This record gives sequence, C-alpha cells and structure tokens, in this order.
Amino acid sequence: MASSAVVLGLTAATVLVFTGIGLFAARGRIDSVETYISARDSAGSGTLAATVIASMMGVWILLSPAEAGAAFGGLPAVLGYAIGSAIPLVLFIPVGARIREVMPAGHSLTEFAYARFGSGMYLLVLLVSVFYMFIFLAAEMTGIAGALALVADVPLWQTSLLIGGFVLVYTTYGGLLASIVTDTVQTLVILPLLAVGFGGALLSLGGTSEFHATVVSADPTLLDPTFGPGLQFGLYVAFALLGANMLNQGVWQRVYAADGEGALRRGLGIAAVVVVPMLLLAGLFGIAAAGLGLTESGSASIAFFLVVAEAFPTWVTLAIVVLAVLLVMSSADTMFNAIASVVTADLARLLDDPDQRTLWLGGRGLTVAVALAAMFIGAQGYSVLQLFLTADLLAAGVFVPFLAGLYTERLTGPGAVVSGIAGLLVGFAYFPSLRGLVAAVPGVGSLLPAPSFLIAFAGATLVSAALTVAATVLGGADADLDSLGREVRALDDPVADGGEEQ
Amino acid sequence: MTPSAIAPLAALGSATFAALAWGSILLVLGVFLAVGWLVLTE
Repeated sequence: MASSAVVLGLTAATVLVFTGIGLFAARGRIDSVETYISARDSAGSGTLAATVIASMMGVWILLSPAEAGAAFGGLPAVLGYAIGSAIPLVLFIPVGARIREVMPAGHSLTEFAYARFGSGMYLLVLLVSVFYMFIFLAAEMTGIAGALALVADVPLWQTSLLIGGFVLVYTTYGGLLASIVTDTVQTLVILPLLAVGFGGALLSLGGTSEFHATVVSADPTLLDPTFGPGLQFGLYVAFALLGANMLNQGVWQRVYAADGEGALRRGLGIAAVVVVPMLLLAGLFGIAAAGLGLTESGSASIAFFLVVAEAFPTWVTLAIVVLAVLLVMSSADTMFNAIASVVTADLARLLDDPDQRTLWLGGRGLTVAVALAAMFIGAQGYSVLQLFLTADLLAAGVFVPFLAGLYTERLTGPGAVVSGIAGLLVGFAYFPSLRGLVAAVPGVGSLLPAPSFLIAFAGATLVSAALTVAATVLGGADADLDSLGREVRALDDPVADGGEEQ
Repeated sequence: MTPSAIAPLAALGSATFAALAWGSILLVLGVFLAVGWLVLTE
C-alpha cells in the first residue's frame, strides 16, 4: 500500500497545478455572465475533443466498467459500456449541429425546453438533467474518496475537501473557460498516463498471455463475447448512457463552444473513438480482479483498485492516483459549471429585468452551493450506484420527446410531457429498485411485471419514442422553430439584459 | 493441458485478447498524439 502522506501530497500537487492553470487561463477574460457560462465558437476540433473527453470521462471509468467486467458479465458487459459511451457522442454530431442551427445564441438544454415546449416540459427536463448531473458529481467525489482510502488509507473527508475545494476555486473564478482550458491540458496528461499506466499494469500481471490464462482458468465466461448476461447488461447500459448523456448540460455547453460545424464534427468524432479503448482497458481490470479471485467478497464496485492494491508496483499505483485525480477534476469542473449555467440562463428569463451583478451572484453562488453539497456527499462514502441508475432511467424516458422538438414543429408541449411520463411509468414498472415505490400505489402491486433492468431502460426509451411519433403525427402544434433563434438571446445582448433592442 | 485448451470455443483466444489490450493502448496513444497536434496547431 502506498503511504497516505505521499498520496495526499501527490493529490495536493496535482490539484494545485491545475488550479493555477485554470486561474491563469481565465485571468482578465471573464467580463460578463455570458462568457462565464458559455465559450461560444472558441474551441477548435482538438480543444473540443479534449474537453469532451475530459468532461465525460470521470473517475467512474475506473470503477463502473471494472465492476461490469467483474460482476455483470465479463467482456460483453465491458464492450457494452465502451460502445454505449461512444454512441451519444456520435449522435451529438448531427444533434449538436441542429441545436446550433435552431438556437444559435442559446446556452442550455432547459432554455430550449422552455422556448420549444413551455413550462411543463421545462420542469421535467430541469428536474431530470439537474438530478443526473448532481448524481454524477456526487458519484465522482464518492469514487475518488473511496479509491484513495483503499490504496492509501486517506480519510474520505480529506480527499473530498481537497479536490472539491480547489476545483471550486478555479471554476468559481473562471467559469466555463477555465474548465475548457484545464480539460484540454488534463486530457493531454490523462491519455498517455492511461496508456502507460495500463501497459505497466498489464506487464505487472505477467503480460497478456498470463492475464488471459489466469482469467480463462478461473472462469472462461469472463472472456466470452457472447455470454448472455453480459450481452444483456451491455445492451441496457447502452440505453442508460444514451439518455443520460443527451441530457448532459456539459455537452450542450461544448456544442456551443465548438468553433463551427467542422470542429464540432471532428471534436466529437475523435472523442467517440477514444472512449471505447479507454473503457475497455478499465473494464479489463475488473475481469482481472474476478480472475484473480479478488471480488469474491462482493467488492466488485472497487474491482479496479483491488487489482491496483494487490498487484501493482508503487509507481503504477501513484500514476493511477494522479490519473484518478485528473479524471475527477476534469468532470467536476464541468458539472459545477453546467449546473450553474442551467440556473443562470433561466434566472435571466425568470427574474424581472436582472442586471449583470444579479446574474453573476446567481451563477457563482450556485456553483459554490453545488460544490459544497457534492463534497459533503463525497465524504460520506455512500453507495451511489442505485441513484445513478435511477437518474439514468429518468433520462431514458425523457430524452426522445425532448430532442424530437429540435426536428418537428408538430409535437406539442403536452404531447412531449405525456410521452416522457409514459416512458417513465414503463421504466418504473420494470426497474428493480423502484418497484417498492410503485407497488405502494393501492391495487398496482399485483399487476407489476417481473423486474428487468433491460426492459426498464429499453422500455422507457422505446415507449416514449413510440408515443412521441404518435403525438407528432396526431399533434396539431404549429411551433415555429425559426422563432427560437429570436427568442433565446445571449445574456449580454441588449434585449436579454433588459435593454432596448437596437 | 493449458488453461486455454480447456476453454470453450466462445472464449476469446490469447492472441485476440493480446491484440485487443495492446491495440487499445496504442489507439489511446494515437488519439493523444492527434489531439495534441490539433491543439498545438489551432
């Protein structure tokens, strides 16, 4: 086990360096709320790829794919995770171009929901997206605190406070710009660290032949790409990741940050290509943990770090600590700013003629509040997997009617809400951990079908999609998508800022 | 008898597994170089 002081010192050095980079990058450049929550048309394809990779790939990539490999079906489960993470990025290429076309001066997904569908769909999307992003953030803090406690006995609260506190400093000061600049540098450190760290780890385990022989002799199904339970897990996790990421405000912000459609297409394409091997490599260590018999005590959720603690030399452990800290920082700053930007953009509409100072206080105050709550939860050591799955299910039910609004003028607000809620009801009926809640409704308990994560996620998505099609065909709405671009303005625009239109 | 010899036909072979693992590492390194180059030339 690495020394607690060394790991804490390394963590502190890492967060200090990146806090300095974030503060330096934003110095003198954040002159309005608009630049605080958007970095419109500023990122070329390399920067966009880097910031999307850093934002989406949190420390969860060292936890969840490994857990999937160890406990939910070996290789096909890991492949499902890997490919499922790439699909939303590929889908965001045309969807992102459409978002920029329909609402060129927009900031957030809730802004679109309100302008396109009205208050009902706005509330549904606000609830689901903020819940998902907050759970993501809390899971990141919990994951890194648990990981450092495992590899070096670092107390949970020290990790949570150190990382959350420093990320808060540069995010509160520099907003999205600081997040994008630090993300870019972090990705350029994360990718080689991941490759070298995992290469070293494979060699520490005796090379791929030894690794393969150990796993196959322990349980050949772990490396069977056609293993049924693994395929089923891979399929439902792909549905879960799709909905959740389409409602991820951090990605929406980066769609607007792209410097043109070419940069958007190349940046998202590169990110989609690299997340597959990243998650595959992480998942292999869950398979290794199962093959080595390290997860027999039911500790699959920390499978990756069990292998780290068991088999790796100290230098690999320390490289992985830096990797994990960078993964958390790059996702946490995105989520801090994403949640703050949703509310700040909405404040501009909800408050009567807010001035820049009010919006500043709202944006920065909310960043601090979100960060403190996430740090507190991270220090508790809760299991957040169930909450994560619940957040994913909510997104799976809502994202299809929401995105349909980008393409059709016939879908009404009530039609979108009913489609989303019907999808959610199907999901709830099959979702194993929400059945108790649903069964509490008198007369419903005996009618519930057998629980299944696959049917819950696929059902929520497909039923909401089918009803969206029906509502579009039957709907008599005549929404004017062209008018959205006139309604949603930049926050430093004279009209949006309460001034007179020029 | 080696462990791979008693594995079911469906299990990934040792060479395929090695290609998957090292190929993934090389792909990550390749993307690192591509992103680095794009960022530096923006």
